[in-house]
Amino acid sequence: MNRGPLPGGPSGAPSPVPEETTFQLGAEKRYKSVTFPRFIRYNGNMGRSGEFYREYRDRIFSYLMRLTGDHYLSGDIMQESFTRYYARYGKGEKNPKILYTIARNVFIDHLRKRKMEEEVGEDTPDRSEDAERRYIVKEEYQNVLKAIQKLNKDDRNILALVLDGEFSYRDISDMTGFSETNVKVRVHRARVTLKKLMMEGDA
Amino acid sequence: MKDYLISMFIDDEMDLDEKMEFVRLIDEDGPFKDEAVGLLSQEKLLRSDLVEEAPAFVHEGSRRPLLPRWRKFFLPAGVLGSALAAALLVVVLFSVFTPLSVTERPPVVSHRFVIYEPDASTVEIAGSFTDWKTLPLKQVAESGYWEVTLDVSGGEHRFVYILDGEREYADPTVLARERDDFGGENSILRVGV
Repeated sequence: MNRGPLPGGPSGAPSPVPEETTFQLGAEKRYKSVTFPRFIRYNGNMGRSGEFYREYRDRIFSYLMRLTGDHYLSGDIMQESFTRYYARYGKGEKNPKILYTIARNVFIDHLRKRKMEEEVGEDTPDRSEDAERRYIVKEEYQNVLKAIQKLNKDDRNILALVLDGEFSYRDISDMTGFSETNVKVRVHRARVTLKKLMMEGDA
Repeated sequence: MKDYLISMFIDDEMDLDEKMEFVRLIDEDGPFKDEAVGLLSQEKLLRSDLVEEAPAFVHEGSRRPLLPRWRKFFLPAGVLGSALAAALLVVVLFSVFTPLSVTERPPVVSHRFVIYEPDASTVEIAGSFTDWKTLPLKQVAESGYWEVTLDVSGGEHRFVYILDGEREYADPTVLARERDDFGGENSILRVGV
């Protein structure tokens, strides 16, 4: 039975928000003693936190799959994104734009770290364990994902945000820093490129 | 080229002038129309569901088939025939299957949750049957046990206990578990099946 020391006070008072820790790829489960988002108390409003998580969990996982093409990584990033979101923005109205922006930033952090590890010559950790992933990527989508990975990072991110269905070009402009016009052009370019890639894939 | 109008159409980003331009192009420009149709069908694929949930990893055995399928094999011929068929069905049920509900609606069952946590000052439970809202357990005198009885609909549920409002804890007495997305574990409860 794994029971570490209890954080916070013994009763009544909600615990302090967990300190943000550096994201580590393939780290062992580090969140055991952290209050998970669905039970975090902010303004005594636990129900809302849980709803936000439940509503966005699948969607942000799909967004991350399109962005990274990596099942395991997407799960890790999703975990980290919700944790960072609740640590900084848990109070007040839920803001999906922030959640998705955090997710992309976590991905960028991961790429940076991986680049550093490669330069230093460190072994990348074994990801083959954890066969009990909750999600299975559908067969028909595997080819789509492969093609999406061939887009450049920015176009891929913009397309992934568009495919989520919730964000306008204006929202995406806010989230990425590209102008609305630029977003419009890139989305279209991404679609056209994908069409070419998928046709080539079948040939 | 005004090809990006196609994307704006797909993404509902057009003002009225752009809509008029788009309709005109569809009407007058064959290749433009073909491109629009092509990208629209691609979009259906791109927006289709990417993932499906994997079945939870459960330690217990797989489910038995639900009873109603057997009804097909007992077509009654006349009143006596149907009485005989019904009696036969009942006999078969009791000899082959452990008692299962014959209706297809999942029954609601009263389930008592008990956990031994003498050091905790509060214990709550949250699960799919509470819509993940927490409900408190009551202490059983000074025994160190905590309990609550809840109505749970038939089927499979996930739940955890929360100790002192802080720490999630799967039921140590329940073998069936699954990982959640946060590195913790849920217990899996099956009732009425």
